[in-house]
Amino acid sequence: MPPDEPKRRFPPPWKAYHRTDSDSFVVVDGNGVPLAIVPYRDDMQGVPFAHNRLTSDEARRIAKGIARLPDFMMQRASFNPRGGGDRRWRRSRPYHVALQDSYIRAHWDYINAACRLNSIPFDPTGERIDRDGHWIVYEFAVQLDAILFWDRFEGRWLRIIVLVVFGLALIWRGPEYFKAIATYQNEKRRINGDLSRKRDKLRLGVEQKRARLVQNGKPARRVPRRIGQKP
Amino acid sequence: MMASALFAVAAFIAAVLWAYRSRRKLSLLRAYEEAMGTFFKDADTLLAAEETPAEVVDMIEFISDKAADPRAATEFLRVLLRRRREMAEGENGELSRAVASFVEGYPQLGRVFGRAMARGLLAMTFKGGLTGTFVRRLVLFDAKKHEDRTQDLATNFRQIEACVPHAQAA
Repeated sequence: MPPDEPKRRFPPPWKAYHRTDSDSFVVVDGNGVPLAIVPYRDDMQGVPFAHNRLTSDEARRIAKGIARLPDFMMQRASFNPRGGGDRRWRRSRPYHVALQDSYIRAHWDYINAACRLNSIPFDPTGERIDRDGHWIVYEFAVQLDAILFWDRFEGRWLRIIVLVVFGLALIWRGPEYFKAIATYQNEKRRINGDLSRKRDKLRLGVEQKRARLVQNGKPARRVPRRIGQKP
Repeated sequence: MMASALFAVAAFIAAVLWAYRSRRKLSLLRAYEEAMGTFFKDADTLLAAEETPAEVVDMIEFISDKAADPRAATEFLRVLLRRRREMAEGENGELSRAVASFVEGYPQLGRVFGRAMARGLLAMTFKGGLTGTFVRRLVLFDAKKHEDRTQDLATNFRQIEACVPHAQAA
């Protein structure tokens, strides 16, 4: 292959299947390109000079191991530590991964096949979580299996969802909220200042009016009396 | 991670509540400005008129001071309840009679006076918090339509409020 030509990629999932016509297991990539052939001979186990041949069970396990290579080579974005916080993710309940129900329904065949082929036992706990959608919880005995399951099948930790949803909401609507708050503070200052000036002007007008009333010989200020009190 | 999530949720809720409160208070503040604007305009007209008596000048000054007082709505409510009892006993104050004769003698100025009192009382409720809302919705809901009645309310408010010791001290 010329050096400037882009490298071919062999996308996951890799699958191993049994080819009965040639007594072998074949590993193919996501596009169906055969990547490895693991032959076996079950009929020569009793022959001493044929001990370097694989049995069908050995060949199946090796082919399956090859098919899992992309999982181990895949970069892990992150795996959030459990412990504390939400009761669903305590250390006492390890390796639980929640998948959205709609996602499971849409990808059930793929999930089932991939998990069976890669020997990942996934058992639903029966727990349902109705928060930001309908989620179903699966339990794993091994952490790596849980990681693979979570990474490959869009499993989510709910608290990440909460953080992302509210964080995005704050970023999306935040400027509008802060603008409303700032507008109120500015208007409050302006209106109070404006009305204070008008009130001072009114007081001046009242004093002038009272002075005019006194000049005209009228009473300037009424003395308040109690209700019912006779003058 | 959990603490960050909780902080994000708390910050979002606080921002929403604060923004909602700011919007609500801004709308009240603008209504207060509009009412006080009309009140000051009418007050200027009344103060410029030669026929305006001292009692009306006194009322204008009183409402102008009360409109900026957050406790005024509570006082107003208390005065109204007390005034119902007083009126049931057939009492009527000197101030009411003086204002009534001014309104009857000068209908043009009387209308301006009624409008000034209506806007002044309404403005007072915008500063009064929950009690202000209660007074505005239940007592003064038709203040703009019936300004003559509002002027009676303001007169009664002034008349009885003058007897409240802390108001006299202030």
